[in-house]
Amino acid sequence: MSKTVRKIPGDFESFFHLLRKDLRLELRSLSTLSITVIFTAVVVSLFNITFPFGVDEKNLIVSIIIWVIFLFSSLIVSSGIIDVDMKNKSVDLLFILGIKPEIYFLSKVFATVLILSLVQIVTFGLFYILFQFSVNSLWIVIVALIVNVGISTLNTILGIVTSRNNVNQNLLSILVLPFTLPFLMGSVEITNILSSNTFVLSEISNSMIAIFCFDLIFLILGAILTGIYFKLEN
Amino acid sequence: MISVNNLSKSYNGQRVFSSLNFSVNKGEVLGIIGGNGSGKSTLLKILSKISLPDSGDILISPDISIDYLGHENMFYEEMSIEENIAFFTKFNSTSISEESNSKLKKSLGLEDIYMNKMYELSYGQAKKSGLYRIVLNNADLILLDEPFSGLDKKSVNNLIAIIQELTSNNKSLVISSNIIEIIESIATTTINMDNFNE
Repeated sequence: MSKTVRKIPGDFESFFHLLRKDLRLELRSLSTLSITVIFTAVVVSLFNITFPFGVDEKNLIVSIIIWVIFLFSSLIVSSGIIDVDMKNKSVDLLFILGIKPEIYFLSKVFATVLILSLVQIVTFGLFYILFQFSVNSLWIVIVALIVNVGISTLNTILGIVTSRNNVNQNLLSILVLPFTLPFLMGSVEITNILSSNTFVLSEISNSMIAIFCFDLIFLILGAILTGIYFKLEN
Repeated sequence: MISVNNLSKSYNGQRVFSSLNFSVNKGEVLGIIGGNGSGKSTLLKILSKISLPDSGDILISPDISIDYLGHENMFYEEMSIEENIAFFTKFNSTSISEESNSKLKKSLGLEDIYMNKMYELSYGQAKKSGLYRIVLNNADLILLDEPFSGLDKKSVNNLIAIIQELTSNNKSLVISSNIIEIIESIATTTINMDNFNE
């Protein structure tokens, strides 16, 4: 049996290989994305029917609804992304073949971030159509991205723990809630300020820096903890 | 290549096996036999590092690659055999040549179902696709848990031929099975796990 020799992929290449696989599987079936988009559309429509807001309070309440919907959408997406590897114990094979748990974790976070970005576009689009809620600033893109990274990171950490322990996935939403409050409060405040059209950067900079720092802390801690968790779990 | 000393494992206070000692050298096949629940699968999971022992040492030569095939083939259900193979073989440094690849695919009967999704395959076909990945990955130490279960007679004979070819290429194998006759015909040494339950 003659053999050929090829280069072992490094961490960076492995990361993209895993990420590509997750995105390909998701975009092919659209299973998670379609459920999330339908969930978002239904909830936004329900709020549109039941809440005839006055002009003064509309922006604040819409900002809260946007990010609460996003939080629950993110739970659906991250559960789907993580379950793919747990079904047939494919994740164990990845580790046997030498993938580092830290790289696996980061690939899961970024797959979730990319799919949730599509959900965010749909969410903001629906709010624009149904609530005439517009944020005429590019800053909202940065806010959406950094909140997305933070919540995706937390969901991935807790999603891995719950699915590996055969814990009911519903528990994920309960576990995630207290950790995501700092992100949600900050993002609601920033979105509300941005929607006023007369904001100055100094009003949102502190919250943005705080959210960005949370992202970094959770990303680094998540990668380290996932590595430790997979070793201890055995 | 691999040496195991005084290995013990228990689950929830119930001993699975204890004081297990063995070694496997290059080109050897270690056969693991024993009744249901005797710890055959647990031992292979420990050797593959999916699971950890309670006590004991496992000494593995540096720079050797290990591969494992359990009861599940560990493939992604929504991907075809071809996609799974392309994905998982990316993480190893060597692969077999194109000619050997086609020969292997044919001998495992995978040619006609190569593009099928995993969820469309029978248990035996899924098992053979896992074996195909194992051979392509070309690891130095191969761990196979019940590789003959679910295979028809022709496939069993083909697998025995593949195992013999692997050992002639200096690959080492640890194989668990309940089919003692096959294990005895291919193994260099055999361990009966029933002797290590007490």
